Amino acid sequence: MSQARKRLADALGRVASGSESALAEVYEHTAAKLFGICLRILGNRSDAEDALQEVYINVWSKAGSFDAQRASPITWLATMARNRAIDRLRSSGGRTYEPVEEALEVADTRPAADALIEQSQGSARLSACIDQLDSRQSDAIRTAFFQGVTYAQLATRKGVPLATMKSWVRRGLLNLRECLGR
Amino acid sequence: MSDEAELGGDDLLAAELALGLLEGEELGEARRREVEDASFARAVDRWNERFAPMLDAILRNSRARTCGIASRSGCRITTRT
Repeated sequence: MSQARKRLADALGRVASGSESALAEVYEHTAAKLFGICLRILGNRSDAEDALQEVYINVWSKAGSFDAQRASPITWLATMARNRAIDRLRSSGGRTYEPVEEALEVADTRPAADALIEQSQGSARLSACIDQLDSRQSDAIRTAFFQGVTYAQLATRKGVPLATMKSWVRRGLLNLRECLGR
Repeated sequence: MSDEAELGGDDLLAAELALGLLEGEELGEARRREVEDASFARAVDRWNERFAPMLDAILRNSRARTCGIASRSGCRITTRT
């Protein structure tokens, strides 16, 4: 386990015991990254800021459920940010902005540098695996991931029967798992 | 689609939950499993780990930016001038 990962996991453990200074530490090391995720999904700054605030409220209340044996801390946090942003997106009925440009303006240079290197290797591998999928499969998986749309919504958007969409996505997921190694 | 069911089963359901594809009864059932069934919960975690690099990828090649100091009142993002 890298030093950065261990520090973050330790800090989450202290958040679980009610340490506000540990929450501040987690925030300091992860807020830029998590903000970038919220912004990428929600597409505008003000919604992303609101979502980010909700994420850290969740971190405060749910840190006890983080299990360092089971998940990496940065993935746990990033997943929470993604899910929080998607919940907001769903409750607002979809987004109105194209987010990509603005999301690229956000960065995270300080935090957890070695953890990020670890992740960027994973990132190259995942990209390669997604790229080798049938484009209908990869489009559906990416859309579901970034826009939080369900099977039914994906099927409607593509104008295909629900069973067809499920089949595309499931085949894509199985191929992905195979490619990444179990 | 029998081959998918055989190959995937619970692990596919875990992926579908992680991606957010489910709704209604299926979603309720999958969330209940995640709470009650530790091996299913681990499968969901594994999928989250598999997908996480997509989140990372969107932030790469981006510029440095500070995010203020820790505060429960939210992140103050400075605007580049």
